[in-house]
Amino acid sequence: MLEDRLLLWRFKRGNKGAFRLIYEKYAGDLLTLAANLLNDKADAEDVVQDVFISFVQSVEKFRLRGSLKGYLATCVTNRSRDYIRRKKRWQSAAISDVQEVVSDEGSPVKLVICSEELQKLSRAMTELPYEQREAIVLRLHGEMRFRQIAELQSISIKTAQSRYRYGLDKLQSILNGEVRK
Amino acid sequence: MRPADNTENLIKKLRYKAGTEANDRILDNVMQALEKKEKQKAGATAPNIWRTIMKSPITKIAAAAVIIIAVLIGLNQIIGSTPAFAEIVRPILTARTATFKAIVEVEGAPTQTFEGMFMEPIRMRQTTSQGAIVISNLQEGKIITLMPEQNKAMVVEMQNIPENEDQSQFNMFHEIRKHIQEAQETEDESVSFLGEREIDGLRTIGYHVKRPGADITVWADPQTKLPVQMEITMGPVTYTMTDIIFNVELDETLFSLEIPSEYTVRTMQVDASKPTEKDLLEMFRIWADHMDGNLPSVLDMNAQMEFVKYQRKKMKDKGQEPSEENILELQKTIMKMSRGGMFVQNLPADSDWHYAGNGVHFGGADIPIFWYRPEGSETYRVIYGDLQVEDVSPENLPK
Repeated sequence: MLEDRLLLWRFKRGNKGAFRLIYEKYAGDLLTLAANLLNDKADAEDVVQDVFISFVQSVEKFRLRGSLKGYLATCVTNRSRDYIRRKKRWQSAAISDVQEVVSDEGSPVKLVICSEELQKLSRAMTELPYEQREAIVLRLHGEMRFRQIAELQSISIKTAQSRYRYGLDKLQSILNGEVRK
Repeated sequence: MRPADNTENLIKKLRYKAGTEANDRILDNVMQALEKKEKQKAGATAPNIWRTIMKSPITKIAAAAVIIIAVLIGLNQIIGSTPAFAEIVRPILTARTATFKAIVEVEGAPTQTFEGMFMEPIRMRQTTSQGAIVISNLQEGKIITLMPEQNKAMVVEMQNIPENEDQSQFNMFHEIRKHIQEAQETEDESVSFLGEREIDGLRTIGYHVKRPGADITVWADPQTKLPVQMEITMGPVTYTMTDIIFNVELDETLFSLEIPSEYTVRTMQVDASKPTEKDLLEMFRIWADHMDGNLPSVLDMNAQMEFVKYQRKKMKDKGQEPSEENILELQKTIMKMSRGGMFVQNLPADSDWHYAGNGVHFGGADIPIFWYRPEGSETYRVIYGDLQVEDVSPENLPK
């Protein structure tokens, strides 16, 4: 946290190396977050790139209130939602996309899935309603508290917890073969 | 059933890793954006007058006097006011070139995304997410669509373009620019301040421009005074530009209208002359022919969607998939009909036009479907359901 503030301070004073360090520190996690939200490697790269571009363009006015990672994760989440809303393709394309990501070993973004179990899980994630999926991804990959997820989704903390719990329950059911699309 | 924590642990393992190449590419693009921003800032930064005043020895002696002077010359300007509309739109009005990302949303149709480039005077290049390239040069009256994957090209040639008419509705950057210019010239109440909004973590301020047939919104960074998002809504169509960069060096060849020799070319001629009442009558006639005798429910861009949806449904009911020929034919028909729509759109505000054709079947001789007052005329032109036209005095107009 202190390190982030120091990096930000240096970056605001024109030290590009400081930005590179921020990028190297968080790009991987943000890409994982975006890829899990969007289920599309190219879109995930676009989103992360756009978030970093916006960040560098507005850094002079940026005031860090919480964690830098939390801020960037929020930007990725908002932008991912925009992508999904604009492309309106979540329901129709999700499954084919994940199959492409899983099987595309030579692609720039690799889904590090070693086991068959994880592949099943990845496909099962695409069957969740988006808000449940988002709650799970933000909690487990964005490392957000339910309060933060609730704020992001404009819902109560209780609803955020329910979305997370229902999402997990549904995932377990799908993995156990109890739910079919 | 698996325990929940087991599933949670599994989800945590769903990690994505960028390859070196992708990682470098993203970082390069971000660094380039940063450099562009720094260049723009270098050109746009004004001296910080406030700091100059406070550093001055005079300040220590007569701060009160400085403050009074500051108030007199406009304190707001010194400490950073909300930039005025004119400042925000200046880059739009003066840009030689611009690049942007565009999203086109049409009610009832899939959203389209483009990478857009604008070059003066009225040139545009748009690349769709599917790889098609649309280049328009409205001075030449030409729009070409290249489909590199299929080696196909479609050429639209606009004929009879009247002088002083730029057909800017085919170039949304120019269309926005034109509306903003008109709004500034008329100095009416068509411009309103929208306040602040955060766009991708950046605090922006917005202005709304209301023009006949178009709503424009511009969101800008109050510090750099550069627009970051522009939006134009015309009927059911909303065209949003983001990631706008002004005055980028662009090669002229990007806007070349030459088509590679190996491409198969289809050409369509479009009459771009000033539309007249005759075009409106023709539009009603074509509509009735294609829509089982009905007349349009509305006379704006929603009508086009209504028409296309109906044609698709008719084909579907017959179990037909639209062929390339069908689509081309439909495009020609819509182009022809759109002249009628343009006639209505171009009618001045005091023409007092009305449309009453919703639910009317073609042929109703006693049913007035459209009336308007031609410029300078004391009587109205009334079009009936059988497309006969009559001059009618205001007191005899349909109620």
